[in-house]
Amino acid sequence: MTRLRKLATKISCLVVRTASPAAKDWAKASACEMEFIESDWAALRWALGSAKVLLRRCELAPLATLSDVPMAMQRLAQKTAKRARLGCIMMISEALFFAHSLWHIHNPVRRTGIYLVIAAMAYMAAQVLARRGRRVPEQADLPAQIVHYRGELEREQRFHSGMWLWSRMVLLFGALAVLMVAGAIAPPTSVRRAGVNAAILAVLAVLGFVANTRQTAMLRRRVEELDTLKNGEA
Amino acid sequence: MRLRRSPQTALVLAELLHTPREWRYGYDLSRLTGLKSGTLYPILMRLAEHRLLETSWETVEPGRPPRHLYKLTADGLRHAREHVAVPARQRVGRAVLSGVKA
Repeated sequence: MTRLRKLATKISCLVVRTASPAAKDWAKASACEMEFIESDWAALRWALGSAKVLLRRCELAPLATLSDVPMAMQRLAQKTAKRARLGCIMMISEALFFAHSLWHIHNPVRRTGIYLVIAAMAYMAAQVLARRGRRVPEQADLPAQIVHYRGELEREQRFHSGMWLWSRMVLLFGALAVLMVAGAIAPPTSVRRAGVNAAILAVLAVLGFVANTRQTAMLRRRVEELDTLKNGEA
Repeated sequence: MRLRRSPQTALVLAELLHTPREWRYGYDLSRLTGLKSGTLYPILMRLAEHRLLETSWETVEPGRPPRHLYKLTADGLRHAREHVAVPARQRVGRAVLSGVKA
């Protein structure tokens, strides 16, 4: 087996291992096809492409009937709780990381930037905590569960768009921009570093915006799907 | 939920429509449509989620990995006939005739 083929096999195995339960079969399907590709380069390209099935973990499986709602609601609640926990840990870690640098930074502009970053992290952590799903009413019947699920989907949509999204983007990137300016005006040699930081910020902003827009569109589609099912069964 | 209608989805549907009763392999679909695995598999996944595509695992001799097979369901056939434009079907037909590179 050539090195290229070995690399392709390793990538495929990694994709299968990390695929979500819903996408695992598809990852395996793509990995098995590799055995039948003669060219090593084509096999490598195939393996790299198959990593795209991992993205499907973020998407929601379609609702076939309204009886799928309780399960979908449970999955959404689990996913939201998991993301809230992870988000909080990330925000607190970043805030602590920046707070730690306050000990040895005396430049007032940089200190202001760091305070702003910490404030942005606290605000984002508060948003993430506020985003946590509400509990499903005990002994709720299907119509009540559908109403609850719709409400949760709309709340999630609000989190990923409008004021919620823009306020955290403006606060976070505003704070980081202040830090960057502070870095640029201190010693003249740091101009290049400031340029790199600006590029990283721009990439992060675009990625964050795209991820949120994608999530909003997906949730909007799910609300439409739910409404279509409700109207169909009414 | 509506299925996203992209030219790539139309290509896959047209290719599956070409031999609707036969089970097809992922790699063959990729070669015949010219789509890369990263484009093809998400389309197949969406089609299966919408119950337009039937999937199965092939049983093979020991030592060889089983292959995943695909074929349109009755709904899939109807959907493909309704939504796949004639030019897309012809494009796939031409690709088959001219022999797409592996």
